[in-house]
Amino acid sequence: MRTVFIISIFLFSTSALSFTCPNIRLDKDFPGGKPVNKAKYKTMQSARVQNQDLGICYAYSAAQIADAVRHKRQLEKGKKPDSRTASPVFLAVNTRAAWDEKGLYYKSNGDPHFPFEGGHLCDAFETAGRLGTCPKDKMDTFFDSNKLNEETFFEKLLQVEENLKIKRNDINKIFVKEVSEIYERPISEKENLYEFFVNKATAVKDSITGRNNEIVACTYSAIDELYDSFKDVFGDAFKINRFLFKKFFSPDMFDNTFEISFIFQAICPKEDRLKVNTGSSCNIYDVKKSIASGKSFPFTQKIIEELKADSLPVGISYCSKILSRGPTYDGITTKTSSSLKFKKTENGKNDCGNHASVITGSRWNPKTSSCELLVRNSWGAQCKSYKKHFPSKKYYKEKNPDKTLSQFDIKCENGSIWIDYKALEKNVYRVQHL
Amino acid sequence: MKILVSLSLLIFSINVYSFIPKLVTKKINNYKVEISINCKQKCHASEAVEKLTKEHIQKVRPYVFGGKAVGDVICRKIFKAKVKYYKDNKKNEQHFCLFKDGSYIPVGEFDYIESELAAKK
Repeated sequence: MRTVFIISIFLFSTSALSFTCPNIRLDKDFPGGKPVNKAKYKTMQSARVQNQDLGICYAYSAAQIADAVRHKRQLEKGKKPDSRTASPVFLAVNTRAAWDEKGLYYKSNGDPHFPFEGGHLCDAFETAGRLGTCPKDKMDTFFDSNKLNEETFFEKLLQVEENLKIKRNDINKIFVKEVSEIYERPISEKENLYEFFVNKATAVKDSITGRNNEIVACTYSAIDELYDSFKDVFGDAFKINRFLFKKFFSPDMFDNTFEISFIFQAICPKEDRLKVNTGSSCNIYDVKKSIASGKSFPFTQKIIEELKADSLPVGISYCSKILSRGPTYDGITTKTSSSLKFKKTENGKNDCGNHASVITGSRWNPKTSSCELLVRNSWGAQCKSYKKHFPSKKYYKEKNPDKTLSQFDIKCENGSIWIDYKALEKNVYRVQHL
Repeated sequence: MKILVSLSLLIFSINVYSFIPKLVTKKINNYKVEISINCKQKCHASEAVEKLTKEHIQKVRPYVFGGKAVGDVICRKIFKAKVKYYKDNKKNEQHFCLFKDGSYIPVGEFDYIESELAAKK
């Protein structure tokens, strides 16, 4: 009789869902080994919990997937995964697709907003595949040795850029006069100064002997000056030597948005980077595809399908307000194949709190007879942020001192949050996976 | 002399980056929060918990983008304090809001207070 009852409960529980909810954790096993972890590889077992500083959540997610790809290779070879972690900021500054057109506009609104803040996970992952990833420790050492952090580092760079603009204008003035003499027309401000001088000057080298060398020399003396201005700002802590600076520096910098990526690639040269070998490219499963699938809870089903298939974390774009407002929050008002609209605040501003994180597990919760997904956030190894709605063991015990604690009551573990699939589905608008 | 300078630099750098938070749980304004042990009766960190309002949250909204945690922005923008970085022995990271008087609080506590304030009508 009891067996029949259990079987019927099991059948009811699975039939209540239109998909299976496997017990998977990529970071570690379930407490006491129960339920059994169905993950083929625990590709996140040595991943650190990170705390983002800049608005580059997409790069944090891409960096974690890139690390998981490397760790999976190591596990497949029977090795223990290393503890090295990819630097998200390195990925962000080298992801051109993530850069907005406004560039650096510290002065325009009185607050730093860096052009690579906000972006897509797959773009950053493509950068990881193309350039490799920079070990986070290496970037951190650079910041630490300058007594800076990610935010103050870029603020300093903005100061350099301000100086650079002044210098560029000076160079422009001098060269406009020179070029006007050579070409009998003024140089446009939008023209690429480097190409204009070096390439076009080379073309007329024979007819105007000597001019080319002079112009090239002027351009490179400007690079020397720029190097000196970096030294002024950062002092001896600026570790890049003059030779390296000139070797990698592109004089295009004088005409284009500040090329921070060059500096980062010099700080973390190719030989120091970690290769991310993956046969598969990054795929986007958006609202359009989810609707076309005709499935119920399409994002949940896609996440689980990918978790099961690859043992790799799955990226999500979602409304982070769910973390502070709880499972009843619904941050998306319209989700159709042609329109995606987010909830607005009383004064008409976006309320959703658009964010990117990775899913690193799923579990069947017998207490709620529902499926839960494990969201690994980038707000540090802590559960204080979520304690109102997603309590950790400590906060659950504080609130419910007389209740017996089950692992399924614990909703937050070291910065990762278990969220019911129905609540998460309402707030997800994109899944990115390999 | 050179060795002495190098040694003092080394000690200085160790001091800068060996922040180990020491916290106690306190009830402030009905919020049960963890706060630095050096905060006796009143300190800047406890005052921040007392002072934080819905209006403050509204004020920082424009700066919360790209998945930034609201607590980090509150620390920097509202209280003009510094974000201090802590790494545990596994290099897991956590941010703390460090005030001028040396008191500090995990920035996650500001996230929590924000969610409590939002729940109030």
